[in-house]
Amino acid sequence: MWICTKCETFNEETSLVCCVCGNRRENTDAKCDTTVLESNFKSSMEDADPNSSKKHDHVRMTKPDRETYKIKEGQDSADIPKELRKDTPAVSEEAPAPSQPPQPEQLQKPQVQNGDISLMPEPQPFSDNFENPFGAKAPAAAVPVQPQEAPAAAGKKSSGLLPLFIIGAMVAVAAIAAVIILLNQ
Amino acid sequence: MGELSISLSSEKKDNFTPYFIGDYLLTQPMTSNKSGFSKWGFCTRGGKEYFIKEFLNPVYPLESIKLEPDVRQRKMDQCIEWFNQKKRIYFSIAASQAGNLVPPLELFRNESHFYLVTDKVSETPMDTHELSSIDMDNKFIMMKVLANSFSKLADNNVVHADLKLDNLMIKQTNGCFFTIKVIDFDASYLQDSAPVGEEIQGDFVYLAPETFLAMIEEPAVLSPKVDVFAMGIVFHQLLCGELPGFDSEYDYVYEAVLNDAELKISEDIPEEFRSLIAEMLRKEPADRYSMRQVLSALKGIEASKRARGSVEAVHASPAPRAELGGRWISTDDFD
Repeated sequence: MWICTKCETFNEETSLVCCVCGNRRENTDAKCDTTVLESNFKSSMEDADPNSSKKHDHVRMTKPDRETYKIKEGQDSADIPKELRKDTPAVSEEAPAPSQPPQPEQLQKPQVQNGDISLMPEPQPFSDNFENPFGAKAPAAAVPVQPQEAPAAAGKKSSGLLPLFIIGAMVAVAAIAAVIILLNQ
Repeated sequence: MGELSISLSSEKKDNFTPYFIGDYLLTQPMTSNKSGFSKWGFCTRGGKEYFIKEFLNPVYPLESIKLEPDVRQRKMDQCIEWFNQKKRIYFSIAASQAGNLVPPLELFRNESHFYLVTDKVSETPMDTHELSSIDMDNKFIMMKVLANSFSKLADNNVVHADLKLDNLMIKQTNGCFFTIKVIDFDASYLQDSAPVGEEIQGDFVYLAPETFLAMIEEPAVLSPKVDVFAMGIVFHQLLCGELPGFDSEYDYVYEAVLNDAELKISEDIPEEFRSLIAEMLRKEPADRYSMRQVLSALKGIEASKRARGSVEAVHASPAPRAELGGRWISTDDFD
């Protein structure tokens, strides 16, 4: 069989012109195999795919109950909406606020409220993902945080008289030395 | 249908998320536009585009739906009967393929609905006026394509039963020619299992007199001659852009014919086609041309045109060889 390029009628292999429009057969005319046409038609009373289609769409399009949703074995976690991933907090629709680099004084001088050490915020380590406003990636160890130093500093009073004491001591030593020298003369 | 898909609002398309129906990915929302008992749309599978139709009836009784056992059984029986009937018709249509039918490729159930998939035709949308303004040679080819396609259907006892311009897709082929693709076999039946009464579907504009009689359950034999009557109306529209004329007291052609009123076939239509259309619009199916006769008549018109053309060429060119560069007008010049 061959298909007429002019009217797209199927023609017998032996005919040189189209039986409908009289168009001459060309070498470029597409061949067709009508013997497969009948068997091409498929029919099935069985459900085409109960796991796809609307059910799949339902999962994708609606927001299932977070408490009852369970990740099936073998399911790609990338297919699971973010708000349903149990290892992450629920994601707000709003864009997250851009992260700001913490100021060094915030890290080095933790604030103590009412003198109670238990109310101090937990020190937060830097993340490798942090990007500073200048474009350079901040090294992970750029600002070391030593939370154990904070309690040591918190229990002591300020020592501002120490230099005076040292100076006074030095003056006293010098005065005593002068007195001893004068007595020896 | 090209126009229909354009008419879908962009908002609807924007909000639409493609989803799978069986193995087919629905790429546009379905519409019920110009579709009585179904919704339709376009889908893809393996990178190829297809037309898909969702039947609104029957609805398969899923296990998840609570139904009384007898109701469930009745619905199930209805589905099985409908499915087997469709399957039988679709196999016959596939066997009738002569190149310009758009036959069913797959009929399947997905959840509670049944779906039909066919090839997607690259249509050149045309209204009746544009269609009638196509040159005569092309119209002639389109008429022969139609007669040939429906002859093959008639050979397999298939009655399309809804032949009308809306169910004919104009397709531009190589070399700027036009051909016709026949779609929508929803109303189709096999002659040995013709529907009766309210089961009959069809468009009143193209309805055959015997179809109307069968609708009102009067004695009538439904056969491929039903399609011949509709094709007579389609030929009239194709050739002059209008329906056949009839007395204003009637609304449809079949009414005028059943009442033996005169049908006015446009004088804009060449005489040989007017007589053919008159034969196709006869009241009694037995008196009406068969599809084979229609195809033969068209070939006869073509032969006489060629003969007349040759004679005219001889009379019109006393010294043709010199003037035409030594070339006679041959019968091939009409192709």
